[in-house]
Amino acid sequence: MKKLITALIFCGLFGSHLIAQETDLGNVSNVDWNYDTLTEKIVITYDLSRVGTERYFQIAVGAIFDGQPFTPSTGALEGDVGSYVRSGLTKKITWDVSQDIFFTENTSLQIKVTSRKVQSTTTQTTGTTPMALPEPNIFIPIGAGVLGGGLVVAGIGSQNSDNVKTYKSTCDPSSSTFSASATEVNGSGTSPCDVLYDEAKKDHSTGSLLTGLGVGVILAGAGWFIKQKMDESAALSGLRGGDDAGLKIEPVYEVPNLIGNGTGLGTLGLRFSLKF
Amino acid sequence: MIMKNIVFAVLLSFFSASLFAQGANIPNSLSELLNTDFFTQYEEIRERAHTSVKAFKKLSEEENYSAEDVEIVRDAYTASAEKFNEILLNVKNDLLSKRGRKMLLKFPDAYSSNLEKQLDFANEYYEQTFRKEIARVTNGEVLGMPFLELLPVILKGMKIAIQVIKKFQAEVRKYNDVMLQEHLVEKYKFDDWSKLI
Repeated sequence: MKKLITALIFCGLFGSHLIAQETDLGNVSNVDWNYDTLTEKIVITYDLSRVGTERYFQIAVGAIFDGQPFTPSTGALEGDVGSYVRSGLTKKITWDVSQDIFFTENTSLQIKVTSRKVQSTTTQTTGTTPMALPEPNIFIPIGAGVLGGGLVVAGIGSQNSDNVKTYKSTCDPSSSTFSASATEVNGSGTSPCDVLYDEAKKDHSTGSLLTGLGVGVILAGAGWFIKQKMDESAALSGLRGGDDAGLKIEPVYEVPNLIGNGTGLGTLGLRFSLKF
Repeated sequence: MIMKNIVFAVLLSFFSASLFAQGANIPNSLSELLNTDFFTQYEEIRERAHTSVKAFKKLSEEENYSAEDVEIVRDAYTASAEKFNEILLNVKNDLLSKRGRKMLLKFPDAYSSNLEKQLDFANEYYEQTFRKEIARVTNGEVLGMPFLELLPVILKGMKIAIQVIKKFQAEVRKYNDVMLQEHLVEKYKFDDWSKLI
């Protein structure tokens, strides 16, 4: 348990480091901003360089307002922000800060401009079908469950048949209803218990077989369903570029805010998600 | 010895002829696949982009646009072309790999949807970069031909193409990289900027 906790904490810390480095292409430089008291707007300027042959980027603005991370609302931003911003010098973004925060000249504010690869801004326009997840065939696993369940029930029934019960109650010396006379050998050379034993054994064997078969059918159905899901997941993972479907373990880590009025509480943990 | 040489020469010529035939002949399934709307309309898209580039180049000789602006339009075209060509390469790779074929045949709707997403993104990129820049630089004289109305036809064509692939599964398994590169990628891909005169 101790090892598991250590591993989880390690994963959390290591993963958070990876998350911190994600996506920003690092081609934004010379970020500067000025508060225009007349318009009550913040004008942000920055330079955006090309990355290889790529000229267009998705630009986002982040801020630290009085020590707290803050994301300006999309409607409050104008200019060279959002998708398809072309590289160049002195790009300009106007932030109507009054829409988001109460800003005075004494407010502590840091602004960060980040760039990422351009992402599609629209949902599908060419058709009506959304990304269709294939419908899994549920009839086979349900059928297997019903059939397997039936077999298990029949098997258990057979294992507890009248023959078995009677044998146990009459011929088992430890039973309170044990009958010594039933064990006595009669003229044919067998006792009633011997006859009963054969019948009970047959029922018990049949019962065990049916139960085993039922469990097998249930397991096969479940296995088939899991295989189908895994196939589907693998296929969709391929279709989506491999980063969406399947089991995902993500570290969740937020740095405690020790500046200003922060609570000093941070977050550390792992998020498990299984996407089919 | 002479007899041996003759036999060797005959065998060699047969071998070369069969190699040549492999490259030249298109299997029925592939020609049927390439005749679907997916590929015919894809060709139409490519032609529209090529026409816009040629019109821009012609105009830029007369109007003397700045080198920077020409470079911007060129880069926007090149990046858009890459997005569209990538789709062809993905289709080629899916046809060549067992996993890709399985995906395509087992989940045709998801496959089409995914392709739709890729096409939408390529189209959006083309609209937001190449068409926007070409209109800006030429002051609206060249607008860049839009593709949007062709996309649903292409998508419909993709569904038919999947049916063709389903019909000729055994033959599709035998496709090779050289064949698909030649008939599926090279034939339909967006040309390099420098080739468009």
